[in-house]
Amino acid sequence: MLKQPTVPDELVSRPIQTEKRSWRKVWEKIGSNFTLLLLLFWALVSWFPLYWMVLTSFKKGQQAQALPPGLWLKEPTLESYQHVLSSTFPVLRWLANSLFVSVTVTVFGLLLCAAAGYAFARKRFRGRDIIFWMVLSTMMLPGFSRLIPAFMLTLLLNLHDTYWVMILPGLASPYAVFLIRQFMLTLPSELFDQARIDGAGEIRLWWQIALPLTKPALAALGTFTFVATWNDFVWPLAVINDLKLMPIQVGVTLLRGMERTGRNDYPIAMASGVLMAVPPVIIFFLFQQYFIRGLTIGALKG
Amino acid sequence: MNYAKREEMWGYIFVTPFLVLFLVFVLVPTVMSVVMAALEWYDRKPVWVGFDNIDHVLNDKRFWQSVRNTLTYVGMFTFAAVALALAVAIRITKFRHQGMRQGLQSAFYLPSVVSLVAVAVVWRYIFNNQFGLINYLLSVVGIEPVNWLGNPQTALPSLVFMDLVTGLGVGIIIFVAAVLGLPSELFDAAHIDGATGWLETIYITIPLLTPSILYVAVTTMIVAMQLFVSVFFLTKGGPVGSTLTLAFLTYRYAFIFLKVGYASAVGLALLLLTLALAVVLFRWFRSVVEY
Repeated sequence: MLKQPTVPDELVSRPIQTEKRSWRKVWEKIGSNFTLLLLLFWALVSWFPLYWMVLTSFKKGQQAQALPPGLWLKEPTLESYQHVLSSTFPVLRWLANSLFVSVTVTVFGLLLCAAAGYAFARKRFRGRDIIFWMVLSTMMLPGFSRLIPAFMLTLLLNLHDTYWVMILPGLASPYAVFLIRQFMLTLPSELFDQARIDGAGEIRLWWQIALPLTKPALAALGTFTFVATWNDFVWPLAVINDLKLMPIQVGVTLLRGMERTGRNDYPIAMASGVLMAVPPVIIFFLFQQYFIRGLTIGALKG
Repeated sequence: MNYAKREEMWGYIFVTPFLVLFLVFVLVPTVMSVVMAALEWYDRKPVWVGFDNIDHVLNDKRFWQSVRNTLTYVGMFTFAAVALALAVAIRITKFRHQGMRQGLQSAFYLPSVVSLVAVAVVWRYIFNNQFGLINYLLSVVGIEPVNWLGNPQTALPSLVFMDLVTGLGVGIIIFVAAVLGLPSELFDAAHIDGATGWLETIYITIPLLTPSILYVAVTTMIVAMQLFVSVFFLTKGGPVGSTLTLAFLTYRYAFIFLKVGYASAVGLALLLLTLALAVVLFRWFRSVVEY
């Protein structure tokens, strides 16, 4: 067996470690640990209110004021939920209203915006670019400044206190049209040409070729629209006064503990909060990967 | 009918249903928001009053207070939201495991799915000066309780903090995607030149992210300008007007004091101020980065 030649110590090349470099290493260590701590801290902070809401909703009124506050659940009770659901207000009806409005806006809004996005991406017609530019530019305006004009307009159209007034304004979403157009621009023309040669009509081109290929964007927008419509507060607050038509977000302000909270009302208020938070959370969990992708398409291609 | 004509016809057919609703519920109200500042309403009938409303608004102390509060909130919130989201997002991209990254993105997004109405009520509880959590934690460390929402000095910053806690999700998701989308050759080149860790982040990652940062900053700013729900539930504009915002002032004048003309003028101010800020942000970003 051959003996490995030993290399004299002074010939081994060592990494050059100057004073400056080692300090830089130390700073990098501190830096990356600092941002990791920040990340963990922020995750904790942003989840805590939700945990606190769920936890408190299972407490009794008195327990909610206990000091030190109980961070774990002792003797859970459904009292608050019973109180909310058996109140004289039609809470279940409010939840149903919200569900109906959100689903309707999502389904019809997507169809409408997918049709428009398709036209902007795939058809040539006079005025197309000007119209598209107009649609885009409204994305930069705060929706709140349209609140009063839209309020007066729907008042004059006699739409207040109807489902229509909650559904129609949500259907035409410039953001959705923009996103779908961007997505449809990337589809290869050959697909459409081939289908046309095979005798497919215009509606079928849209429904059977363009739409299925846009599914990721549609799923993302659908989730987005559902959550936004479900959580919408100011608009229904302004235009709905009829108890039976209120969505949950508005109705809940009438419940004990929402707008002003008495000492023992916190668990009840938290139970109402949990009830209205559950549907969007479920939708988010079901579609989360689309949701994340959808947000990204809009930002990176824009 | 030739091909081009047919295509044009179908273009109109596809776009019309959207366009009708867009005109009625987006474009017309936008135009009206300018016109309505010059109208006052009597029993559902508009009367032209010219610059009266605008005059009133410009001479109203509460309006200027709202402008100040709104801009303070927007400044603090936008800056903190972009900085925090960027820091967290860059740290998320350092995780090698893709599932880990996606899980973190989802985890940070989830709180913003919950309605602001629900969130606001939890925070009133957390901010409560007798048995709220924050004051309890402070008392453990020996600090006197603070009436967070009842003190004009702390009310607005408290709202900023509360909205930050739920408001970072979108920014984080966009920044993570943007960082992962950067061409890796640039980083290889930087490594050869000896840039790692902090240096890499500051001199390479962040400059390359400028377009995404601008996008997040502008969209965050637009949302922040319309601060309403947390004010409505937690402070009602008080104490002593320290959380009065333009959106809340608009709402209060229109639907509580029923002065629609005045409210419209405030709404118009909100619109113009938002546009002005957007232009400022665009300009500023352009001057920071030379393309």
